[in-house]
Amino acid sequence: MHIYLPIAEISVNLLLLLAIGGGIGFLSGLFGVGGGFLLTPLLIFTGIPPAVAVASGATQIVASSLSGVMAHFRRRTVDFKMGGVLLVGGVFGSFLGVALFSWLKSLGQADLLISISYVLFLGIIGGLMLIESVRAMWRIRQGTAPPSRRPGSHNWVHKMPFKMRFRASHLYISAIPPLIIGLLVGVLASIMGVGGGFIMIPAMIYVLKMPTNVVVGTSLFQIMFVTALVTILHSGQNQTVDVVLATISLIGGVVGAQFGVRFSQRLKPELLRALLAAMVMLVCLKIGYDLVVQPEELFQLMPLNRVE
Amino acid sequence: MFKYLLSLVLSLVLIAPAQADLVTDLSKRRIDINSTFTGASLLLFGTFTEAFDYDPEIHDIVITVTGPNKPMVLRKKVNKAGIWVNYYQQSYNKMPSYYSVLSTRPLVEISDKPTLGRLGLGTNFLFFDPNPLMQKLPDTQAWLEFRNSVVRLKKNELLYIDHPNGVEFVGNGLFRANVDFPANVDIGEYEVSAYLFRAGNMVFEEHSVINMRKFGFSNQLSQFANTYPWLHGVLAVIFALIMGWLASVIFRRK
Repeated sequence: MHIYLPIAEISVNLLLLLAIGGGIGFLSGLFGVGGGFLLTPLLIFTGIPPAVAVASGATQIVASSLSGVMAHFRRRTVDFKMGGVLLVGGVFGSFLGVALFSWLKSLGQADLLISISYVLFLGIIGGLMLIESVRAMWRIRQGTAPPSRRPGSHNWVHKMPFKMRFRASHLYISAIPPLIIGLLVGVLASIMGVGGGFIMIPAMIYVLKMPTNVVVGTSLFQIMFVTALVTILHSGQNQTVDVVLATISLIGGVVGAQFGVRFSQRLKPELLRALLAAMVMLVCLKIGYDLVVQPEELFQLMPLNRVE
Repeated sequence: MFKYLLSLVLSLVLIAPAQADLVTDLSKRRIDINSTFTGASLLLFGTFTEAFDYDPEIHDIVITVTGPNKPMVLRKKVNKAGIWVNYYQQSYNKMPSYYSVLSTRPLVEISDKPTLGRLGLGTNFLFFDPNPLMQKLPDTQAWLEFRNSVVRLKKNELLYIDHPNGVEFVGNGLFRANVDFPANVDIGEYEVSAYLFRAGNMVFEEHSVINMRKFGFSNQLSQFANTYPWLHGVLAVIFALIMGWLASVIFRRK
């Protein structure tokens, strides 16, 4: 059963798309991650043009992050002031990222930018997660306690100017670090089609030292607005947003997540993290492999978009 | 999923008065594709007037269908530092988005290369107007490899078609030709040309224009996205928010 994707301009198997969305949704429910960093590469592997996969991936995240934002809003676990500062950075990052993307697209190098970004980030994240989870499993076997962290300890973040008070996070820190984090996430969202939670959440915990109860809600708040902006910018500048593609992967994702959440309670957390790390590394290796192995078709014909 | 095959009948009448001054006519000037799943196919019919003395030994018919011209760029990947990257490129100012050539015999048997080249008949003689300001080629001979790659890629997508036996005679001087359009053809004006050759010389040509239009949900969507890209982006976000809200209502935790 095939469906024609109007912007990607290809016919793909509807069940395959639903299965990919469902699989990623299952994983995101299982591991509690957004899954954009796995969805976009898998869409590319099925033959969807990378630029369309990235832009439509961002659109899908707008939809999938909304329910999370609503739930955290009801529980009052969103630091709106911190989210706002992160968002200001994210807005600049999105414009920067889409401008970079459009420029490289006109040079025929957008696909290379996407691939290299993925190899780099998936490699780093997957590697770190693998090391961390193996260590955790080792410690459990040895019966030793993890090294304790001192919360609220001051670091370089507290020495910067433009200090602001973030009441919900019980923080009085400079606005510069959250602006930079937001900016980086905005750039990643626009060139990789990811929410960027996998960068932002560790940064909020370890760099900003935010309390963990507001971290997820605040990051989802920023992600929803940034991916919405990225969708508009990609549609306006590159015409690469495929709503049909985003909708199908969303439907698969929403259903898959329900099963993932239920299944996650049966598995050990450190084993879960090791499995996710292995998946991330596999996708990273596949993208890297495609970069170094001679492609079957060396030529590529593209419409010439003039750079104004 | 759905299989709409749209066949339109164009009557192409070649009338031969005393001075061999021929006239063609197309009965329809529009192709409407309702679905993009299989594309469309177009049936061309033509005939001669009774006065015309058709002789299959010396007469040949060539029909071309040419889509709107687009500026395109062809890139070639090269291994740089272990990674395959787009490196060489050649841009073309006007490349027909679609080109189909149908004839009674292979073109090389119908006429000589200078004539075919002058008329631009056949994918080997299409002119894409390469832009010397936007090119980066490994050597001066590479232009031919690039040009042939354009034709090869277009043929893979079924957007360029050489059909050397595509014009068939069904008797009494009546001939027919079937032109196929894949799902991803561009909309716009398509030129249908008919050429009559006599002993290798082109003795008559006639050009008509047909309009390619697309209907159906996905076609309308892509046309809207290309015409109003910013509004499409805003609507896509609103739609995504509605979808996300619906999903959270359906799967709200009990």
